[in-house]
Amino acid sequence: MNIHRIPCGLLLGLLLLPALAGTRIESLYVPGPNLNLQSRWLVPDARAKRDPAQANLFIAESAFTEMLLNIPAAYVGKNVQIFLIMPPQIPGVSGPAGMEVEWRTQGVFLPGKARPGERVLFFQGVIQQSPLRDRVAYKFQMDARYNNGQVRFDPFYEIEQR
Amino acid sequence: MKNIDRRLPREMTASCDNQRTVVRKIFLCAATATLLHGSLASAAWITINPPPGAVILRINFAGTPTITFNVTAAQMGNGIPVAGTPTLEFEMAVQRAGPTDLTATMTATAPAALFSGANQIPITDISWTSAAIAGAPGGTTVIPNGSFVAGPQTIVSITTTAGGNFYAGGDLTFYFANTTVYTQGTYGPASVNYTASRSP
Repeated sequence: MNIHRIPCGLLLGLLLLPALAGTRIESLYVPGPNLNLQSRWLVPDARAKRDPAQANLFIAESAFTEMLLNIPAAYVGKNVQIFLIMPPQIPGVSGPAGMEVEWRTQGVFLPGKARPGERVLFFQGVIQQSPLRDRVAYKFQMDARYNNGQVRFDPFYEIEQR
Repeated sequence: MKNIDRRLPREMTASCDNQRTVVRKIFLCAATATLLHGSLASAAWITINPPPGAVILRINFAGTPTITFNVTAAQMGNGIPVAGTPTLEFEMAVQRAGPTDLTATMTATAPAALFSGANQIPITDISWTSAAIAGAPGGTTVIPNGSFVAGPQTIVSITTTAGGNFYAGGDLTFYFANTTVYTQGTYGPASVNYTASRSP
């Protein structure tokens, strides 16, 4: 009997996955639509005596930039959660330890931090209207040991009803 | 296709072939629009340009250090090298982000001699030994032992093999060879300039 139950459990799991993923929604920056950032070494005075975890970091920061999330009509007026998803594979970054993004907002979206492959709560509440907008400032912290060139990616957003 | 033709406005029915083309184009456009919408859902791209490579040269001394060799009359020319003071810690760092390896080179440029009036001691009489810098988790290529020559000379060169910081350095103790008896006097100071450069 146990042998039969195992495949059933696997099948249910597979069926549930799409529902957990949420609906992908459109995002863009204004006047954007993209952000292009120049980074700098976090520690200009690199020394072998420093902790390599600090000495190898470089950072890129953005000013507060207006960001819009276009909410499908079906979710307007609904209590929802929106998640920011970092792609697991990011060109220019050779592993999740090589990059962390931290962002601040001005109250509509939630502040937070994420590494490649992570799904982080970005908004929760009732959608009054679309698009949903706020101003977001990013701080990207990269480890040069995991960098092999220009970093370019598109964090995406998923919405699901609570 | 006849049913489709009848539903189309007259100006769009110039020929059956054209209508087919129009209809197909509309479908293609619609399909394209759907794809664009799908990609717009993740259209906010972020691009981060790595910082340019950098090279850093550091000597752990405030200001310009002066190495002093005191040779007594009894020691003069006995062939036993005389250590100078202080010992100095030299360090060169090269920082690489991005795909291109960098080579960093530390160079010293010395005069031909130390002078005391008309008397001189050739710069080749001054050498150094180098010891690994203690407590350097960043890893360090140790500067090799050597002796000065007149003009520029390479002290150490390192090439990155990956992204991140690479270091070369050492705690350098300088020596006067003391193999020749020179006229008594105070020689120098002579100025040795160290530079670090990188390529590309």
